[in-house]
Amino acid sequence: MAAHATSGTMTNHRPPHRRSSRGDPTISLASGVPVTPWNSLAAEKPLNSSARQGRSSSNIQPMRFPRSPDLEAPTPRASWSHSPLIALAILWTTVWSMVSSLEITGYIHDPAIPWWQPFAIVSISSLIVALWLFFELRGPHYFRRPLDPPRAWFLGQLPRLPLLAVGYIVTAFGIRHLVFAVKQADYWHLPWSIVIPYELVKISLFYCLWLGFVYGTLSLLCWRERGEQLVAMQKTLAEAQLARLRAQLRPHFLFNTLNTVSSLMHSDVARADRVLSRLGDLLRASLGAGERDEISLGEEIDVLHLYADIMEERFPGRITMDWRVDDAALPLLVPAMLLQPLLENAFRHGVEKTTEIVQIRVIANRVDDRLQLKMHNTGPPLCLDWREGVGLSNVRERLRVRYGAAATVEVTSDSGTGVTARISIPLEAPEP
Amino acid sequence: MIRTLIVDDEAPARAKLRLWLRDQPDIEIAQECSDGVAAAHAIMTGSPDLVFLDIQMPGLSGMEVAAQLDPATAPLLVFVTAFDAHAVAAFDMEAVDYVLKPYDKSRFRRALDRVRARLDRRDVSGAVLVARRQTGPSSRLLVPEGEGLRLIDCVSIHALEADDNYVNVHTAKRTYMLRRTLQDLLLQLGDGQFIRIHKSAAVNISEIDTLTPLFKGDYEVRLRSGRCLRLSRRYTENLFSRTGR
Repeated sequence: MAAHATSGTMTNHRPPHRRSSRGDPTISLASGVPVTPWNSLAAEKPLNSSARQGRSSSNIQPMRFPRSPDLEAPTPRASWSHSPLIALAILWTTVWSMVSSLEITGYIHDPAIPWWQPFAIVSISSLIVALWLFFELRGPHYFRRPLDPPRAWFLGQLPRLPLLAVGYIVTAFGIRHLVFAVKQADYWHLPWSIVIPYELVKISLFYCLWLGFVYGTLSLLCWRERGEQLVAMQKTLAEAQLARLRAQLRPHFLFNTLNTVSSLMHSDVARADRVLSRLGDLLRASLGAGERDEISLGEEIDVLHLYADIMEERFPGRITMDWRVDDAALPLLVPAMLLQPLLENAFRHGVEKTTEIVQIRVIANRVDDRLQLKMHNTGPPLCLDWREGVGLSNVRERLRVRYGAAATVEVTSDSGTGVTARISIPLEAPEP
Repeated sequence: MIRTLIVDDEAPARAKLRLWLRDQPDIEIAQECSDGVAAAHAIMTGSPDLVFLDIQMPGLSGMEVAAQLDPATAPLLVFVTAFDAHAVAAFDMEAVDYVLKPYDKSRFRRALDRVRARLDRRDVSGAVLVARRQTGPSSRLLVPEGEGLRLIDCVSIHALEADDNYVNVHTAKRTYMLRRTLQDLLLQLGDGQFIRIHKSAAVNISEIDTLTPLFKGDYEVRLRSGRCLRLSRRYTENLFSRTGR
């Protein structure tokens, strides 16, 4: 009797769903299992473990130095938690519980109807909704596909709908009938021919609404993250530009170079001229950099040549430069001003710290889908209390912002061979 | 003639000095060095009158070289530097001569004029003291070994004992003889690590093992290495205040 309470199909409006068959509760974000990159940006550049394979397995012992934890983590970015969605789910459940309650308020206050009947009808469907949302959020469904294009994302979520709808109808009505039977009451509702289509339409509608909210939330997060990333990239570029300028205007470099020119003027005017023009080009390159985030490796190597030429004039006979740059790598794009800090370190910590002849080797080649850069100098190894300088940490930070964990930087050293800095960066994914 | 040493790790910088010094009738270029230890060796063995000393060099910097010298016998030093903000700020033209790179001929001549005036006055020791203030207590000491010099870590020194015009520097392995006064050596090493226990002896505080009272307030200082030295009454208070007894 009280069953009429909910005028049949009006029993509840919740987007009641059971968990989908594809929900895999073992994949949980809380456990730190990486979520497949869901946004298109990340999807283009899969962050696979090969990222770290640039490290050669030579007997060179790696130096201890603080490596950014981000570089170790398998998922560098877009590894959001479900927490905003959990809040959304709670809100969603509450709203629908309230709406259903409102609808049957009349029955609750009807003395002819026992209070537990409307209560049971509302709470059973609320519970099912909550349970469904709980399991739904344990899985990676919403993160599996890129948000863009939206149609693909929404279509990707639809296959779970039929199971949800059927599951809900069976469970909700089953439990209600069971409860009423136990209480020896009569649960009346409209005939199944009306109830079933009605519930199907309702659930589909609610499911799509829910998806809309999820999509909106994720889009907002994505938009915000990209904004932050863009700001971070611009910031690190500006810092790199400043660092490079500071390095070239580093008083020791600048004044010693000028002194070299001043000395050569008395012995070899042509050479003095050459050093001056190199210095001019170098400063110009630094001042002009920063207009572009990325330049070709060839351009970057040209700047390195300018710097090395000047140093060879300052320390004649004490440096041998060995350039091994693969022609195929020259057109590849690299973040502007990536290598110069490493070359500078080779000079400052290799050449300027010893009286021996130092060999500096610059190696660049393309290995599969990665660009491998190596800067090696003979000479004294890094001391034990060596810490990353501004130049190196800036290189690291810029690679992190640009490529996430897919790019690596490492510096190794041993007393036999000197110091080696290696950078490995992924190439852009080829256009489809 | 002013016997002159040129020290710079960059060949063009040496060439320029050489070129301009050659024009000076009263200057004789004795030697050129390209790093700090070689420069210290050349100064200690060749006793030049004047040294043009670059500051940033491999091994020992120009400042560290200067700090290792005996102010009583050090040559006149002229620092030639590209840029050492701290050092230059500390330089007082009255105490130390310096030339900033790149320099022109008139700057160079002015520096030489000051050099000549100072040599006439025999006022040459200032730079060593300024350099010591700059570098702080030396953590490494240059000691003669065979024909050359060797840099030893000051923590490895157990004791210093004066012997006429020399100081015996005892380390675990061997003893080096330095032609310095104990007082000046202690000034160079600072009083953080070494403490004087006698008119003619000082020890590394962390090497002291036991103190045994003797007559008249003297003590016998036994070092971890087994070496025994006498602590004279005059220095007991100083030692006890440092060791907390």
